Amino acid sequence: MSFSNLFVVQLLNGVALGLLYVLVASGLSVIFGVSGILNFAHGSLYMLGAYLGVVVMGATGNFWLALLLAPLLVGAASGVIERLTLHHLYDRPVAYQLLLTFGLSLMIIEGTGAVFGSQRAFPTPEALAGPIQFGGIFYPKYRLFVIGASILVSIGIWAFFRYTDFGLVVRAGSQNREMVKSLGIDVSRYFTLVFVLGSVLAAVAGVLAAPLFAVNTNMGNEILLVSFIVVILGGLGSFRGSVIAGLLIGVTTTLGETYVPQLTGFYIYGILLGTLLLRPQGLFGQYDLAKVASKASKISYQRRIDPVPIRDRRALAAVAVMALIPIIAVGVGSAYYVGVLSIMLVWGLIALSLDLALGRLGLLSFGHAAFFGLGAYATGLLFLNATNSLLVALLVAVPLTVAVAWLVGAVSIRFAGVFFAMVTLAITQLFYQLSVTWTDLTGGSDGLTALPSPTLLGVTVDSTVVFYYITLASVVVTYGLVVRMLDSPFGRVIEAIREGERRTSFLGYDTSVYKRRTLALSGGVAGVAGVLYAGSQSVVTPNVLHWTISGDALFSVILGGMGTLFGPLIGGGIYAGMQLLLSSYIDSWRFVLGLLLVLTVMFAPRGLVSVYSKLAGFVGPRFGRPDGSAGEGGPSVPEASANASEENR
Amino acid sequence: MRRREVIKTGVCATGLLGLAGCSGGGTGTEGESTSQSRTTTGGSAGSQTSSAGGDAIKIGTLHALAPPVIDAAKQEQRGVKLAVNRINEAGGIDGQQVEVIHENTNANPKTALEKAQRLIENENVDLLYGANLSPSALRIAPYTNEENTPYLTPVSSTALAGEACQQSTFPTNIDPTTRSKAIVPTMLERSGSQGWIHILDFAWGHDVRDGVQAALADRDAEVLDVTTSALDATDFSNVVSQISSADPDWAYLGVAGGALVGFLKQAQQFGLAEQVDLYGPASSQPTRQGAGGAIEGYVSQARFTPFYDSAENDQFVSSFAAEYDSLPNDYAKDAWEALHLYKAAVEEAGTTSFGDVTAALESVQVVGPMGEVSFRECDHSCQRPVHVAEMVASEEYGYPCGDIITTLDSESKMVPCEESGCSR
Repeated sequence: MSFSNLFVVQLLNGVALGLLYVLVASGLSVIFGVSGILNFAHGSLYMLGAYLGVVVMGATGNFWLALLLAPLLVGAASGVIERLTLHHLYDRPVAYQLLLTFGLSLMIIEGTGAVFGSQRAFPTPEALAGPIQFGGIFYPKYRLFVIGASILVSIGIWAFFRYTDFGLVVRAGSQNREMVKSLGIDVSRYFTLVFVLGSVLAAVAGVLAAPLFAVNTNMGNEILLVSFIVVILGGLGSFRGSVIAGLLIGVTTTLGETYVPQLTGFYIYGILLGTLLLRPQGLFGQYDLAKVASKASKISYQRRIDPVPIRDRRALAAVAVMALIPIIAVGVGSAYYVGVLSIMLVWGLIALSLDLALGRLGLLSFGHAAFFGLGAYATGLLFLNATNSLLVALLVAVPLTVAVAWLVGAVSIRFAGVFFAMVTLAITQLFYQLSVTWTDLTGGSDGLTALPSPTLLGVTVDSTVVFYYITLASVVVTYGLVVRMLDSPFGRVIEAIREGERRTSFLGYDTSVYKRRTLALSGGVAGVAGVLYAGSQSVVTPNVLHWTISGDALFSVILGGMGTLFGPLIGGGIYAGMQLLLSSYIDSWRFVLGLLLVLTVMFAPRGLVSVYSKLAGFVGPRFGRPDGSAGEGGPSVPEASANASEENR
Repeated sequence: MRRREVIKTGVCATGLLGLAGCSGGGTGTEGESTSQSRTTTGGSAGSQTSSAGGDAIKIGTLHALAPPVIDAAKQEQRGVKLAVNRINEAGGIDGQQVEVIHENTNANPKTALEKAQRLIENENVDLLYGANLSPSALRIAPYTNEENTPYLTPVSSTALAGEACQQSTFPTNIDPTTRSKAIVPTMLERSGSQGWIHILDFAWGHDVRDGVQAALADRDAEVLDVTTSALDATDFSNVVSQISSADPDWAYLGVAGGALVGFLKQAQQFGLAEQVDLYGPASSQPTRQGAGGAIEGYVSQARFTPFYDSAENDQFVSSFAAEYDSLPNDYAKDAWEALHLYKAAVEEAGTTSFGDVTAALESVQVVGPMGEVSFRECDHSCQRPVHVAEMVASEEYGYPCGDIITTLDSESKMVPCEESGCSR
């Protein structure tokens, strides 16, 4: 094949891939544009579409029927899901909606696997099998069909929104929801219909993709990330933007990996980062970024739950109990649970670090996996190449993660809400890709193996119990420092920024400086967690840099109680322990975890701390703080809500 | 260096007929599989115990019960249970009954290590088996050595018998470098001298590439290009188009799992499979199941086929079919074989103590369903026959299985002990 013919084939490959991204991303974009929800369950609905396609194909042997029926079934299921869950959460902050859809995604994936199996075959329809020749080119008939079908569906969506009354309301709602409401239109009904429509589009893409890729329960994860990027890149809510961005990513990655293969794996995240830095609102975003961002990021608590100072008797009692546990555990002959507690403490620290950014400042960060992972890798590299001193590791790794977090803040602090989430996610994935690719330094996918035991003040720490005490001491000191730093003029400015950034800047504070410093502090705490993690394990693998660590941390924060610092510390520990416990006894434990996520978000949005404060309020004020803040009763749902007061002024 | 090659043909076709009875109605050696002393759990969740009571030998197993390998891992769990039942029925290991505790790694290296810690520190198991992913096994191996617990794993990472080798650790499958070296002569003989190598950019893919290039080094062969895809790649159309355009005689794929399924489907749509012969070391059961007809014609190492003609395989397959009313897969065979290797080692050593058992594992030989298995003393590399097979349709499975073309010994393809990088 000549160079020009090969180029044309590669261009077609890129277009076919890009149009598939467009189909998935347009559903995501439509849902986000109208309801403001970044739907993490979208990839699982794409997967469900493929699976139901397999089922219909198996029953009828007819691909066309599968292409028709599977999306309709997914649409019906998504309508029920939306009405039961999301419909009640549209006024909540982005973090809650995101977490709810993440929980739904886990349930859909596990449920599908349990019913249909984790892997299914989906052959190419016979009529579209094999290649077709035109000019000097052989090209698969099925890929041409995917291109044609995707173009048709895309034109159909565009026409639907452009020329129908439904489309008119949806477009109006995406620009100004309050205005549409004031015209007497029940917008919430449209939310459901748009969610169904978006899900149908995901399922159509799923059925179309099934003959191209492996059909397994993980198939939605990869395309979900790319689709998020397409939506953000194109400009939130811009259908035209999604089409152009999808094609741009599809064609750039295909041609790039062919002609400049050295950058394989970096293209997508590089494009996203580059575009957003040059044009923050995306390629075709028409809105005022600052306005949308501030609306998306605000978190305001109706009820304050202040962090418990480390000298508080409850905190001291908790530390005392934690200090006694190893003595009891070793007494009954098992140091294993002491090791589990160490991991739980490390996880609590990661959640604490995210709470600094999210709960105290309103920054929904997916960059914390990067800070945690860098701390772990820096420690691993030091242990292998220089010294296995834990103190030296802390002295090197923590400033490094502080510096990286500050730099991440420098380039991304102007974003907020989902924009900030996506930019930090892209940065995290770039680090992850680097850890897999830069084999000479990082050990590639196998990671850094056979790390020696750490030393502390010259003594080798090879006992689980001793390491536990080191971890506990580190957590106590870190928590104490963080609470102390926030109980200061600096902390009050941070709080003021969360409640109203514009007001704070009117008072003369450079809010960006404070946000960067808080993110750096937060990164430092994640770095401490990374050092402790590497110190307790014999291996550091790329998993520590994967964005899902940030997702787990987000759940821990909300499970414990966002903005309270001690809540996430507890939530992180419980989350880590719960994963170990559930996975030991339940096959489909992710389904249970997803259900817990959904229930927590819906019925206990202030997390476990609200349970405590309710109990304390019930038992009596003597258990509460002198100011009564932790002992207050009062309503718990919704206690954190999106505060639109500032931008409405 | 001499190599032993045994030509076998038509095994898959013969086996198809031979197995019809045992897979369908649970006949064959049904009587043997009737459990006598077992108290299996029936389900397949983690942290479950199949016990024999008394002063039992405890075996901890780690299964990756997470998508997309969860179905395969459940078969692995069945393989363990079946082996334990049969061993206990035959009098146990050296007179001691066997108790097994299953754990779920979630296919996550971090969880795998935590579960290994639970099994060793809390349950005091005498043997650890499993963790079917190389990052998990690489984490667990040094830990088991610290804890003086023998560790058998089906993971075939080159590093496990190389720079990451441990006295405790015995990989029961051939590493991808050796496997690739074994496949290359058949590839050149069947397809020609001009080829293309494509790999996923991670340690396993690099091992495959190194193995093929080493095997090609002193042969009359030309590699047109070596291309790489990201570890999480799903679309291979650009690579398939490049290979199609270059039109080599063969393409060797260091691609596994869902990525291999996608590659083969796309190769079929482009007509590449008709134009270029496809080879590679990976053809596990989930891959064959997911790829369906798209994997037919692809040549690989057959880790296991229920149609392999041996008395040991017949016994294993019929026992499994009688117990579970389904055919075993690669993972079930690996588990069955590993537990019998451990049994042989303990009986050889006369004890379950770490030093004696690991020393015995270095010398015992067991005839498994797919041939004789042993470990090389210097680095614990697995020594077993390499069955090079073409994937063909199988009505019994419902998805393709391997039709063996050639069988070679693995020893002659291994790197010499002094070059393995193992310095334990």
